[in-house]
Amino acid sequence: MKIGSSDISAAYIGSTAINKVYIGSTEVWSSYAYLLDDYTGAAAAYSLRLLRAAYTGSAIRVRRASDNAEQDIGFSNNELDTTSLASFCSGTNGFVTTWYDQSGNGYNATQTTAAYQPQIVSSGSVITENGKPSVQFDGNDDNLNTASFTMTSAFSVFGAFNQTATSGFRCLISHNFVSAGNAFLTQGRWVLIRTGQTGQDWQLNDSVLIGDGSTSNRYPRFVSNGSVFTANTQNLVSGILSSSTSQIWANGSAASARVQQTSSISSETGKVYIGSSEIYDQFQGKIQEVFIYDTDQSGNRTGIETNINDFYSIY
Amino acid sequence: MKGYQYQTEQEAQTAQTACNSYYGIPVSPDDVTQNWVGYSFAELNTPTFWYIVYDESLLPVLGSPTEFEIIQPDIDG
Repeated sequence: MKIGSSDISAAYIGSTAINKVYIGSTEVWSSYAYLLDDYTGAAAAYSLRLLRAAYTGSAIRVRRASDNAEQDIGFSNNELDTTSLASFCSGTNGFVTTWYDQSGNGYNATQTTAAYQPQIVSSGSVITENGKPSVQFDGNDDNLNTASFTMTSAFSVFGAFNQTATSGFRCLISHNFVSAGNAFLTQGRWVLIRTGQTGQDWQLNDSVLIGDGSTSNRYPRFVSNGSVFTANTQNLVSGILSSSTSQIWANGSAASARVQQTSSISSETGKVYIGSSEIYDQFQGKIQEVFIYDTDQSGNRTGIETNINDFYSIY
Repeated sequence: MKGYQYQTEQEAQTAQTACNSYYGIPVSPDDVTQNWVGYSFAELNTPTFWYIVYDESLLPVLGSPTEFEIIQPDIDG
């Protein structure tokens, strides 16, 4: 909403800031910045906050441990409706069966096996990170995955997470290219955190990796020069692969590169896995949101990071 | 790793079905959750086998787990 030609950035009644303005029952202004309205075109987007004003679906679907019943949980004031969630999971554990895709593309991430479902409620209490709800992955077998779809000319990833593992490969998100003879992301795109192990340059100890395939002839790819994310700390990751960019940013700052190679990136079809690379590299820790674009978001990166950080207060 | 090993996929499926019956999964046919536990194929082990990863909820159904190694692929340098 504008006054004259100027956008309204804040509104007050007296000295009290207000978050929304209505004309009748129609919301005409909100102080909340819907990320996907400002930065359109995400291929898939998973969050515990509302990312698009026009999105009318739920945030997640939850199974409660007491009787294994399931229920969709939506939003309240643009954030996960934790009141409904706590009520549904009163006194028990709650697990995410579906993390709904807010991009509009319908690539909902699901897990049909109870033992592999990440957790969001523990003994009736919503699991949080820095005061906001979060989805907790056990580092053993948890993951959520989508139907197959095609990623085209780039791979841009943004996410808020807290990684607790101190050993092994830990995959935040991957887009698997699956066909006969192509196992373990030999093709496909992913963001991995490698901790506590030595290895070759491509397997560098304590590094963060973003790549298009895991074999030595697959580019683009980026390996950080040492650890860039502190374990047991909330972090914001940005990663971009394209024909001109191969880079990871940690909390808004570019990671120094041990390996940094750009090349053309091919169109590939596969499933998105949140928290694993199919059956391997299980993420251990909490994820609050993660979304991907199949376009180079270099021009929007700082704006997207600001939006995420404004909401989660990460750094 | 700790888990349950099976020579054939049929044996793994039978164990999975037993867990589903014990825990009443699925509660509703429309639910997302269709199985209590999953099974995987150790394709890089010799000989190959099927396995279920241990979880304490499986104890009353599948009994005590065993320890075995799963060979995982590594990233090419």
